[in-house]
Parts: sequence; C-alpha cells; structure tokens
Amino acid sequence: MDPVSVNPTALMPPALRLRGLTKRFGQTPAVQDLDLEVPRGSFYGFVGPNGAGKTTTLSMATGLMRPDAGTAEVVGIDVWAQPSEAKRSMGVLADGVLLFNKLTGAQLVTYAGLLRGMDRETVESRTADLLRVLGLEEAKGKLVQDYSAGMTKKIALASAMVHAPELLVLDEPFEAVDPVSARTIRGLLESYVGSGGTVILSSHVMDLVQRMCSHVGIIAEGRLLASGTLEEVRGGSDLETRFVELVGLEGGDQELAWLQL
Amino acid sequence: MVATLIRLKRDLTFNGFNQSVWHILGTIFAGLYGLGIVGMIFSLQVMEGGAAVIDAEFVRTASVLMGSAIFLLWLIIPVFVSGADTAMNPRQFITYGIPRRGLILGLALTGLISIGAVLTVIWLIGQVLHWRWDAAAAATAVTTLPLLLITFSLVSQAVTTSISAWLSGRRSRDFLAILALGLMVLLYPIMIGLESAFSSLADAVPTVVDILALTPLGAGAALPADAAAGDWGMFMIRLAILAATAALAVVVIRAALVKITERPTVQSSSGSKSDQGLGLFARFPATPWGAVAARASTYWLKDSRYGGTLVLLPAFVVLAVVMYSQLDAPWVLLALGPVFGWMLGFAISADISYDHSAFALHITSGVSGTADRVGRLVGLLSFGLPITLLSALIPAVMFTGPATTAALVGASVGLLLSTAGFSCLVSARFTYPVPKPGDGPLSQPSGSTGRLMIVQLGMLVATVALMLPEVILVIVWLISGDSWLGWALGIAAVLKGLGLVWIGVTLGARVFERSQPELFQTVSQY
Repeated sequence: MDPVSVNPTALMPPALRLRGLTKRFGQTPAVQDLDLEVPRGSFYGFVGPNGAGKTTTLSMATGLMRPDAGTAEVVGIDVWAQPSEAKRSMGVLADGVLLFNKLTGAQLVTYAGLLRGMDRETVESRTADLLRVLGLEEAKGKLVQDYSAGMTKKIALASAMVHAPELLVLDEPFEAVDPVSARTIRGLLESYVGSGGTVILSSHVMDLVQRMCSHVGIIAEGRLLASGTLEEVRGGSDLETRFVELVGLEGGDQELAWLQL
Repeated sequence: MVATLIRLKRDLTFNGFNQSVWHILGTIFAGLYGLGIVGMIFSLQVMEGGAAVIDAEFVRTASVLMGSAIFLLWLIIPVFVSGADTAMNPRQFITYGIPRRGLILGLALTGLISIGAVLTVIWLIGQVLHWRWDAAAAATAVTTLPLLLITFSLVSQAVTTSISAWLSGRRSRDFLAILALGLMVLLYPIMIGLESAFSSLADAVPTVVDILALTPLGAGAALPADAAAGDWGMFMIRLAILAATAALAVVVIRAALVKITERPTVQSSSGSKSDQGLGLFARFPATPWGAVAARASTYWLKDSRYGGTLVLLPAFVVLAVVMYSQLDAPWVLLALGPVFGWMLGFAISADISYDHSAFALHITSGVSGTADRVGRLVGLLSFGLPITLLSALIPAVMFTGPATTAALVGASVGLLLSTAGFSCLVSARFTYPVPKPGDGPLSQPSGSTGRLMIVQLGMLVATVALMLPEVILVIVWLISGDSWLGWALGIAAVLKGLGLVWIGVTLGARVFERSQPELFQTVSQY
C-alpha cells in the first residue's frame, strides 16, 4: 500500500490542521502550542505515552473541549468558528466516552445518522451495510450495554462513519479490542483511506501504527516531538525504537532483585 | 488484617474529602442535619431521665420506638447507597485472599467509621442518661451499648454484602430501589390502616411497642426497661433475640462472602430480548429533533433512572385515593394534575446529566441547539401531556363543574409546559450530578448533595415565581366567583406555558450552542 504523496489534492487545505493548540488544566499544561497537519488521503497515526495529551488534542480538534489558544481546521473550516459546518465533514470516535447504551446497535447507528440530518432511507441502507461489514448483523437487535468491548468499538465506529465524512478522528480505536475485531476495523479503515478518506487515530501500540499508517506524529508532555511520513519519522530504525529514543525510557534498566525466581 | 481494613476505610474517607468542596459541604450538611435531630433527641432523653416523676412506661415506649427506627435506618440505608461502588465493597477484596473471619470482623468494624455510627453512639449515650434513675437499667444500657452498636453494624453489613452477592444484577438492584421508594410513598396509607385497625394512633402505640420489643428491631432497646421492672425472664429472652440477630447477620455475611469470593458470577449479559426493529425511531419524524425525541422516549421506557420518576406517579395516585377515602377531601385528587404537570416538567432538567459522556455524540454530530432542546421536550411531552391531561381531567369531571375543570386542566397543562420550558433553558447551562448510566435511580453520586440542592432549590424558587400569574388569577376567581374567570385562567395558563416553552427553547438553544464543550466536560465528570 503506497499512499498518495504528490497529487492535485495537495493544493487543497489539509484534512486536519491544528495551529498553536494549547490547553492548561489549572497550572499543569496538557497541550502546549501544538501544530499538526494531516494531509488528505493519509492514514495518520498519533502516538504518545499515556497522559501525553493525545485525547486532549483530539478533543480540541473535534469540539469536545475548548482550547485555551490556537485553532483547529477540518478541510479548511474552523471547528470553533463554524462548528456545524466543520463537524459535517468529520466523524469522531472519542475515547473513554459512553455510548447511548440502552439503544440497540441498529438504533444507535440510526440515531447518529438522523442526528446528522440524513434522510431515513439513506440511514437505513447505510446502517445495514455498516453492520454487515463490521460483523454486527446478528447483534444489531441487542442493547449496546450487552456488547463486548470489541463490539462496542465497532458500533461506535459505525456511528462515526454513517454520514460518510471526509475525515475520521479515532481516539484509541483498537484499545481492548480482540484480534478478530481489530482486523475487521483495520480492513474497513484501509478501504476507506483507499477510496480517498483521511484517518487520524491515536494509539500506543507502535507495531499496529507501523503496519497501518502512512504518516505518524509523536507527542509527549503536550508537545509534538516528530511528525511526517512514517519513513521520515522512523528514519531507518523501527517506530518503537525511535519512539523510545524521543520519549525516553523510564526506570532505566534497573532490575528487581527479589523477583529473580 | 482488621486494623488494615480500618486504616483503609479511614484513608478512603479522608481522600474522599480531597475530591471536591461540594463533597465536604455535603458531608458537613448531612452531618449537621443528623446532629440536629439526634441532638434534639439527646436533650429530650437527658431531660426525661431527670424528671421529678418518672413515667417508666413512657421511657420504655420512647426507647423502643427510637431503637427500632435507628435499627431500621441501619437496615435500609445500605439498600439505597450500595451500588457497585461503595467504598468497602467486599467484591474488591476477592483477589487478596483475606481470611474470612478477619474480613467479616473488619467489614463490621469499618461500618462504624461513619457519620451514622457517631450519631448512633450519641443516641446510645442518651439512652444511658435516659435510664439513669434506675441503677440496674442504667447498668444494662451501658453494657449493651457496644453490643447494640456492633449488631447495627453487622446487620447493615449483612444487607450490603447480600445485595452485592445475590442482587448485583442491575435489574434486581433497580427493583429493590424502586420497591423501597414505593414503600416510602405508601407509608402514609399503611399508617392510616394501622390507625383504623385501632381506634386511634395513641391506642395502637402500646401494642406496637410490645410487638417491636419482641422483634430484633426493638429487643435491644427494651432491655433496660426489663431490668428496671425486674423482669429478668423477659430480659433473657430479649437478650437471646439480640444475640440471635447478630449471629444471623454474621451467618448471612459469611454466606454472602463465600458466594462473592469463591463463586464469583460473571456479569451476565442479562439475556435481553433481541429487538430487530428500530422501535420508537420508526415512529418519530426522521429529523434531528425527531431522533432526539425518539431516543429520549426510549430512555424513559428502558432506563430505570428515568423510570424511577414514572413509578412514583401510580404510587401518588394510590396515595391520593387512600387519603381521599380517609379524609373525604376531593382536593387531594384534584391536586394530582398540577402536581404531575410540575413533576414531569421538572423531569428533563437533568437530561444532559443523565446522558453522561454519551452526550459527546450530540456535540460531534453538530446537532443544533434547537434540535436538541425540542427533541428532549417532545420526548417528554409525548407521554407527559396525556398523563397530565388525564390526571387533571378525570378527578375534575368527577367532582367539579365545567369552569373549574377548564381551570384545572389548563393550569395543569400550563404548569407542565412552564416547568418544561424553564427546564429547557436551565438544563442547557446548569447541570447537577445524577446516578451514572447503569446505576439505579437512587444511588446518589458522591459529593453531589451540595450542588444538587442548590440547583434544585433555585429551580424550585424560579418555578414558583413563574406561577405568580396563575396564583393571582385563582385569587381573583375565588373572590369574584365568576365562572368565566375559570375558563380565562385555564386558557391563560396554557398560553403562558406555550410562551415559556418558546422562550425556553430559543434561549436554551443559544446557551446550549455556546456552552457545549463545557457542558460535556462537566457531565462526563459525574
């Protein structure tokens, strides 16, 4: 899979552009002056250790958290100045967020579609398609609260995609997902990118990002340490090595003497 | 082991205070409230115990009734607070392999680190002072003090642990909570029934006290009375009842712990019926507001946190019918319409808090403020309007003429619309903590009391102010007695309600769009 690097879309505004994004919680800075660009048609992996500011950044990009400073643009539209226009082009899977889990799977996706103002027939046929592709057809009549973790992620992804957005913002789409579901999600995302969509996903599984993504951004302590195409960022070595180099080891190579059984 | 558990409870309690100012304020407020009541009882106990002429029968009655009430509180409170997340949920200790004896004792003792236990100790000391005029009784009160305290704690722990062991399913817990709520509402009819069984409540008291004193509820508190009367036979019987209660509690805790630690059940997927259709989504219009309305109504039917409100309605009807048959006062039935209108209108004031972080979907899909507000309103009115109409219309037709019927129906519907419109505006800005999705309707989130009370009190005052026009019209009507004023009142109330709905939705939509992210950040913390 070789993603598009030079083509006419390069002249259009990027799918997502964050400029000077800053957020402080009390005295602690969570995200500091962060600039990030996700080119159209790219599969962007946003990686960083826990607490690095991934979720905060993505929340500010999707309208869930108001930034202290800076702007976020989706296909050239400012998320905070023209929220309803910007949100039309974007599908979001937020992390650590509940779903309306007293609805059945089919109801939830329908709800997401209708909230977007789509007509009933389109919502109905797309819901059926999504449930089929994601292998949720049999569970579509079950309440979401009875879904497994993998099924929950998949139904959330379906809700984020039902309006066929140009950009998908996925916060930890593979967390707590079994390998089979992960493969299904991955397949769907790859065909979406292949057909011209753009994905930015956050993860801390380096291996996964390395295999799937065309672009990578590494964040730690609220700052973007590196970004660009996968090749540029990893520069010859593998992503995990590069990541640890940038972020730094913790605890060094100390051993626990009493744990030598 | 026991000491470790006690330290753990202490640390959990104090760390809880670091969470938020509201938590501290709530605890202080609850503590002061309890202290006020117990302080009053205490001073009564001290005064009565030192009276010149002592009425032994009265002291006994007071002891047994108060003792039973306190026992009942220790028994009932865990039903309300024990959710999946009480601080010392035995389920959390599964992985540590703690010896069972230590765990039982530890849990019982940690139950004593609470405001309730402190208040109980004050009452128990008051009990000693209450009986201080008789040496044997006072000595009994002193020696049974720790015995009673530990029994209370054991019984309370038994309830908590059993709920955790056998009723951990969401359904059964909701059922239990709703049952308790219904019982509370029905307490009045029960009292009435008791009163009619005897010729008056005062006549019933001695019998009630004698019966209570032979049950676990009042046996412990009746011990000093037996000592004072020198009735050592009864003394031994009651002591045996108390001991058996404590022993039974230990057995129950033990069995429940065995169930929890050795045969933990996996949270089963409640085997809910598979529903192939789209349910209410097929019935409401296929627009953003229609979708919100469909979702809201679905939740009213499926989410016990909403259902809790609906369960209260029939309970109120029963209460009103009983009161009517006892007092022969039709006004209790006539009051149903306005009360329901007001309650239901209020019910959507916490809608976004109930969504919790699922509210993110509304933000990320860019739902307009108007669609959100109108949807939630229509969801409520789809069943709230018929309920209010019927509950106002039926009693009015039964007891009054056309003018009063028009006034009553109009006022009820107007009240529903006014409070609902007001809720539309307020809920777009002010939220308060509510039980989390999946919790029962009565599990109060920790540290919420302060904020909850302030927001609700504010809304209460505001709705009363909004009702002023109706009140003035009612007064004019009552003074002049012209029947056309009844019609005018009804129509005016509905028109005013519609106006408030329009204002509430328009302003609420604007506020909603401006403060979306802040709303989301607040409600997902609850």
